[in-house]
Amino acid sequence: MITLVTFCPLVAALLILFTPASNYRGIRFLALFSSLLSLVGTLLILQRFDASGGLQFVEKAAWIPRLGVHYYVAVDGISMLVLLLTALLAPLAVLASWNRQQGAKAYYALLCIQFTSLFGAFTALNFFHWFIFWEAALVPAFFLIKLFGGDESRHRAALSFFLFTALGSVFMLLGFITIFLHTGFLDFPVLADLAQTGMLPAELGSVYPWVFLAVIIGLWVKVPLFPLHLWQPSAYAQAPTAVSMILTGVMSKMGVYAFLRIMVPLFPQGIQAYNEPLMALALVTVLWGAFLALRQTDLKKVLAYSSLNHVAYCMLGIFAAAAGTLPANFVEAPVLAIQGATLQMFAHGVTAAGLFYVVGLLENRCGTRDINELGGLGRAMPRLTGVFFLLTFCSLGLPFLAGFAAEFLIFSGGFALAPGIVSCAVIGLLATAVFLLTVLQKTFTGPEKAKWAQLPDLTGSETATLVPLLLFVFWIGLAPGDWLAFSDATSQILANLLR
Amino acid sequence: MEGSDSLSWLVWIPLLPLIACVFALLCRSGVAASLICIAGMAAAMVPALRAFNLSGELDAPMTFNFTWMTIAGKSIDFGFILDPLSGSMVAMVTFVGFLIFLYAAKYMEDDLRRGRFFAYLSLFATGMLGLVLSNSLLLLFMFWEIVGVASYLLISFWFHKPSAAAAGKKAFITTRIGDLGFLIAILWAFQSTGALLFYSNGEGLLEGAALETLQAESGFWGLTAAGVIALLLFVGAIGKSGQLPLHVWLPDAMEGPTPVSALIHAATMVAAGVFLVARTLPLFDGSPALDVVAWVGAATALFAAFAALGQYDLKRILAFSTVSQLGLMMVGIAVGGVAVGMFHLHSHAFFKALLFLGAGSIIHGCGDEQDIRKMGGVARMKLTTLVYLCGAVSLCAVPYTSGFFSKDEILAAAYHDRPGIFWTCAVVSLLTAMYVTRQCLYVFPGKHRGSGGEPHESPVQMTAPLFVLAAFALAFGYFAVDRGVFEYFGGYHAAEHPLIVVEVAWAVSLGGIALCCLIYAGKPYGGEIADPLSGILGKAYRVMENKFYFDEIYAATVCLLWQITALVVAILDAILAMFRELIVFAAQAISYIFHHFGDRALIDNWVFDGTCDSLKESGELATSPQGGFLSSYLRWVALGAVIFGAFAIGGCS
Repeated sequence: MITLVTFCPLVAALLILFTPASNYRGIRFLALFSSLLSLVGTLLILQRFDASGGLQFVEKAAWIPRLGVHYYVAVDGISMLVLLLTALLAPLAVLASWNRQQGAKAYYALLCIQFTSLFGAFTALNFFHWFIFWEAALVPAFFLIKLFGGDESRHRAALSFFLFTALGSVFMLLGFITIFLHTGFLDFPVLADLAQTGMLPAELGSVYPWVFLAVIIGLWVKVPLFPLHLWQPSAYAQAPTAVSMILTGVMSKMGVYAFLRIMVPLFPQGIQAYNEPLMALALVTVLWGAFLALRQTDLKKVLAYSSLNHVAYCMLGIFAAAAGTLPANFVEAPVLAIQGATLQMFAHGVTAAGLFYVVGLLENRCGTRDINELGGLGRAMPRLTGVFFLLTFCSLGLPFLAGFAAEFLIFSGGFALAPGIVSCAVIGLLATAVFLLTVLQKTFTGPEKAKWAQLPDLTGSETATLVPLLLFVFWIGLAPGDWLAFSDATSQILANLLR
Repeated sequence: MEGSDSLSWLVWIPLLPLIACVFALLCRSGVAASLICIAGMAAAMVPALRAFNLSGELDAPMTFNFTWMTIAGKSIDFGFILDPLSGSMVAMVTFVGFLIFLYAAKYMEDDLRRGRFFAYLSLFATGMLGLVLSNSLLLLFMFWEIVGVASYLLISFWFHKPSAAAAGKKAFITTRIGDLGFLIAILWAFQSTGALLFYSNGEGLLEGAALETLQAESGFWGLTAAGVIALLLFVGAIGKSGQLPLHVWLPDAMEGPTPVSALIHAATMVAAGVFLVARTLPLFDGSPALDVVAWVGAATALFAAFAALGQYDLKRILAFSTVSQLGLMMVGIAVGGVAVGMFHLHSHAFFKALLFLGAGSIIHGCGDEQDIRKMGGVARMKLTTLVYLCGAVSLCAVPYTSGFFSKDEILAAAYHDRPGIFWTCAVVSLLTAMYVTRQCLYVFPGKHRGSGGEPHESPVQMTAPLFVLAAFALAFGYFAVDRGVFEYFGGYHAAEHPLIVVEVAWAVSLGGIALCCLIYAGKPYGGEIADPLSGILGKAYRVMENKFYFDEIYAATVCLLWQITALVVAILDAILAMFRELIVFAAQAISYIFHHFGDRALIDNWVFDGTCDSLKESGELATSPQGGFLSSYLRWVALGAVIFGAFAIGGCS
């Protein structure tokens, strides 16, 4: 089943390559159909998913046994949620670029390859093909930004995006080669067992810190965390709308997911040993993103820095789970922190994708994303304004919407274990409010400008794209338990590894 | 502490306005939307009054708890509570809210976005009613934020005015500073006790073991954890209730339509901070935190009363008056307990809602003029004048009005062991009487000074709710004392009323009115003429006019620091970005070298020739050096894989 979900878009990509370029309707239909098939498959998995169990829907086949390479896929609680997020955003991303005719063939083929890589990266349990998917996700993103991106600076944006993430990956590859040479395994669950029994650090011996560092740098770039975030804002800003939805909604979760899938099970001792600097850097990222967003005038850059800030909360939660001592009356604190990070991935994915989508709509209509040129849009587009307000308030952590539940869990779990750092991170909440409200003020309020008066409000198909996102914004916010139940058992295991 | 599912009907109290809000948003017609929302509020009044009736008969709070989510077996619970505190608040909020809704239906008649307006009002009502009914610190905070957002939306409702948009943002951000304190208080309480419910069969935060844990745990500055949490909660209350030093948003919030000012910035939301302190008072008990509450309240009351005396905007005078009265409520809770503070909260809600709605009627009658210097002669609006004066005397605490009874109690409680607070409050009362009188002297007597036509009376839909409120402004206090309001709230020890307290109470209210009349009588004022008080006070009056320069001081310190921080971060990030450019440049250079010497000479012709056709194609998609870099990257990955394989096989064998 997982294999079907994963490769369905790839098949579509191949079919698209054999479709004449003029038939853009057929092409986009193929893309939509395949992503919907993946969604259905994911929903079937979700329906039969046993929340109390461990790895499920396991598919394992020998590939290159001598190198410890297996085709090994499965889902557990954490991957279930990101898989669902990917499956949900994929068709919406196709819908978001529904009107693209020029270069449709390359565009949709690349998008589909991107989907397959993401599905693969979230389900693979063997380093070898996990790494292939992880790298493969970069290539379509690179070309999508470079070929279909915004203005002239898209080339540099694409290049620095590719360079940073690829360089990070090189470190990670070296790390895993070392692990393989010392242990002879590449399956994550096997390595996790080794780590738990203390075998992995023992086998690695004196190179352990270096391997830890190499792997963490690869993930650090991807998340990204300060100071390796430099590729991110321009890539997000230059990417076409649907791609920035996928970049910020899903790809930014690859790093966090990999922390939960790889770092925590394989290197819990390392996370504990270097806990304080790790937390400090996560904190710096939280504040760095928020304060940088304050000075941006490009809406997409504001959202990009806002993403930096929000995803860093996930990392804060994960690192906090390994910090401090357990309070007597609140021994569940580490689980809350991990669960918060998981839910934050989901919540931020949905919210940020929605925000980027609406900004894309605004850019199409107004021809600019500069908040100093916009202004007074509230009158002309009341529905679009309403949706943007809602997503913005979700993003700044309004209770009963998705963001709050996740952030509260991170904060409550984190504060119990690392009160000082988490108290400082709270300032990020204030800064978020400041820059997001400034965006609302400059974009939508103020005297109505004549040039915007005739612009259309949300159309039917645009509303159809947004409704599923809004549904999740409310659902996660009102009943987070429905979603947390999937990852509860897995998060407990992860939290126990870190204590 | 009884827990009972039979209380689940309490949920309807916040839910009915929420349903109305959703329908109002979907509704295309503004009239229909306003009717739906009024009906929603009226419907919510039914369970609210039932709750009020029941609350008087309870020996202990009744609760209705349920689980929000469960993590690792730990459940995070929500709940609703019925006790005198929540029972009285829901009754007041629905009743005053209903009257304000009625008034607003007429007041906002000509606004194209009336539907939205009523939807926001209903959303606000949901938040406020949920807030007062919450039996969980977390749930209370969540509704608290909803209330904040509704307030933001309503203040900036006329967002085409930049000043309104700015005021909404300022309100949200300033209160959010306080909210951070509130949030940390929740986190601290949660980690120390594992509890978030207030009352839960002995396991709640405000009862039994959890409270003892907090009182035993040491915080910092020599306070217990309970004391620190109490102070942090008070920080939240400072933001919401406009206490020093976070009061700056409240006067600006007057940019919102007048019914909003009445509902949110007089009767209900700003009282939420006072309510929070009242709700969590067991945490404050026996801690120096209570002294902080008393002194911050007293200082705020004094400062705001002075500032009110220097304002010319009809609504801003009332806004500062609200800040001042909220300070008195804080004092009341700190020195006299829940009953004293809450009594003043309720009586204030009635007379201040009345004054704001009356002000709205005056503004309406004067052709949207808010400057009292351009008013005068408003006495022609006979009905409005009559009810406004009812509210004014109650605010002045003229004997036997509601304001008198509730304020007298604060004075009596303070007199006993905090003479400093007592005398401060006495001065505040004197100033209150003065600024109210000054305002009335500007507005009502004499000739009309405005440029528009003569003031005209507002329609009956607007004045009728005012009469109801006027009756409460005058008589609520008497009946409440008569029916035992202090016993109702409980935990109250009747303070003695020494003769001096009564004398002072009479003297300051009547004396303030008389003093003000003396100053202004026979002197010219209004229009371009300087205020008679400025002649007496000189430069001090300039300070009062400028609200003690708080906005300017903040702009020069906190805001500047904030912006400098953002600038420094931006500069540092730009420096880091130069490294990025360096890396990109280096990569381009290397790729160029490899492309021309390495790839072509070495790889293509030697190792990979003919096997890399597919990769070449991908390279041709973009033939710039970057594209070349990519294709060579892919080749190096392939090469790396071969090397990796070789190593691996070697390692295995």
